Amino acid sequence: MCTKIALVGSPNTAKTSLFNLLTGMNQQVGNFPGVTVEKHWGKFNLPDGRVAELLDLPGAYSLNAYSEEEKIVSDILHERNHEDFPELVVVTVDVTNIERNLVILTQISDLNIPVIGVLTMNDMLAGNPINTNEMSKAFNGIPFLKINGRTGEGKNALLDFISACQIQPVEEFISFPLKKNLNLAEARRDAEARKSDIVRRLTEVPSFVRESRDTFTTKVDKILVHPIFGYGIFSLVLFLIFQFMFVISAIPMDWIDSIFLNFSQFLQGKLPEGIFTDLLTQGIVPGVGGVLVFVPQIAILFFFIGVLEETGYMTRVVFIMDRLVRPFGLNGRSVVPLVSSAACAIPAILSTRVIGNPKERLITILVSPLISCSARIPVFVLLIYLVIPNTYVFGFIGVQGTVLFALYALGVIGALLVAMVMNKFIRSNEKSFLLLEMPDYRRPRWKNILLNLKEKVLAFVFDAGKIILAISIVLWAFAAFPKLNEEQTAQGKSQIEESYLGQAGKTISPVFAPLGYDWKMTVSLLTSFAAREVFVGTMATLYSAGENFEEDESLLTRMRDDINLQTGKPAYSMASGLSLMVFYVFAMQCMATFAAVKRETKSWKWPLIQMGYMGFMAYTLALLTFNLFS
Amino acid sequence: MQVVLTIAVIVLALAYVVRRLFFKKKESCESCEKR
Repeated sequence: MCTKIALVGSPNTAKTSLFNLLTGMNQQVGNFPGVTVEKHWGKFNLPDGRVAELLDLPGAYSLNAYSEEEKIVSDILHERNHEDFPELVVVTVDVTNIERNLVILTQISDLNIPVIGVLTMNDMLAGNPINTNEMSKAFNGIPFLKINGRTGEGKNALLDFISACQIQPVEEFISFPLKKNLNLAEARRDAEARKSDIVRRLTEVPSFVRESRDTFTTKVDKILVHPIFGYGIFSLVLFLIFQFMFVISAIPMDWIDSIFLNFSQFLQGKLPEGIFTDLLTQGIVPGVGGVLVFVPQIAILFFFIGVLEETGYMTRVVFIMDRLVRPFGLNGRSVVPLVSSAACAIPAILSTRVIGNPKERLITILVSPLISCSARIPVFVLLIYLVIPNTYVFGFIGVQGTVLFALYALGVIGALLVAMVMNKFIRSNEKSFLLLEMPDYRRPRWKNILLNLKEKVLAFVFDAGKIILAISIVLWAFAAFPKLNEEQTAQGKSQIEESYLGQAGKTISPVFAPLGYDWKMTVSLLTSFAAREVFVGTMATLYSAGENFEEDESLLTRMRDDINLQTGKPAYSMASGLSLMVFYVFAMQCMATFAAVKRETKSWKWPLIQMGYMGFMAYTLALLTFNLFS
Repeated sequence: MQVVLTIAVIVLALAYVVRRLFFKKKESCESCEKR
């Protein structure tokens, strides 16, 4: 009887697709005891009516563990008494990378655990399909099946096999003592022996035709991973993405902006006068608009990241960056979390689990939030439009796009420098290395990109959006009360200045005055302490609650016309604007990141150190910026 | 009527902010974890 089944496979072998295919909605998620690695398991029905349990183990190339995730797989399969030890292991094998993916299959078989190989990505093979009987014959009788994770083709055959559960003992592949915690040299010897054995066995599979690396990929790689051109091209690619983000997204952003402005005015005209009308037209509608207006930009960023991943270029980026980041105490694999940080630091921090070396992992976690995430985009965009002139150098390089690029670059440089300093202070004895496989370049699958894009945009709108809107409403209340009395009105005082929010901002503003901020900016800094993107919502509220402004003026115009009462100059000068941007590059204003770091490092120490050093950098560098530009 | 509605909306928003910031910290980016 096989009712306890584990799913094993190298990363990117459609393992999760197979898990979803078998268990459908019947899934549970938890943690493996004692570690932060997520445990996914589910139940499914066999054709004979019995129920089987399927455990989806983390992706692993081999049982010789390096990362925390690979250790879990190794631990479970090496210990017959382990509560998760399976009766049968299903190994997913991507046929386009068959030699490497079979390593773990032969290892599991050599541990005398019943195993079955599931060939995936069969439609990606240019030549004929692989014959599973031939595979089985070449690999000591281990059964092989073909499955299409998307269409479900081959699922019934797998279920029948599991149900029958007739497993023959399999002859040993490599007579190498497989044990837990092999040292690096032993592990390498084991992997090499297995790989050459697999290559030899594959020659006995006539239907398997080795695809020669296509010449296009080889030619392109000569340039893209070139020690000099490689970095130049990567910088150029990033630069172009940021230029595009500004030029293209400006059009829909203008539409969204004006739609909400008009809607607000429409409501003001139609609804009876009163406090709820004020809340709607000054708090809620601008709040929703303030979230939606950034959707075009976020969509464009994720679209480009998706294209880079889909085409295979991202792997080259990891490879070339390894050389560059190693002196800073990072690993090529740190680059994936760092690039993901451009979207959001939280998934980035979680994805550091693939970094085997604990020291490199910790450093990556500590510097990831310095890379500008999508939550900073709204803040940067607003400030750039406000203080950076919309001009072009040489007629085509937009200054605004260049400043955005520079802010990202500043975050990257900051991250590298901090990593270098941490590298000196954090001790570790483990050596590290980088193993990568380079996929062929291919045309992007647009459906994948668009699905991912949709997920990201919805996550922003409904996840970040809800909290921004809620904070906007609360802020509106703090800005709208207490109402001015007649005497104050007669003195020409404005509602916002006398409100609770205005008073709080004025009290704390001396702390931030050296950075060039007025009390409104101080209020926004305070409210965005928990989440940066709240800055824009706060500004929208501050500049619309109870102020006397021209009805058709946009937030930008109102901010541009604002005067700093202490200096008598425009509140948003080049110096104060840049200072604020620099502050946002370095400050760790994100409760969710704090929580994620605490969870991943299992301590309060590291998130507190992180928040402290980032706050210190933000304040001193913003101070420096303000003095340099004023 | 307007006052009641306003207070209700503000209380709801405040409750949401408090819950989100202090009780459900991990939630905010769980959906992008699967990247």
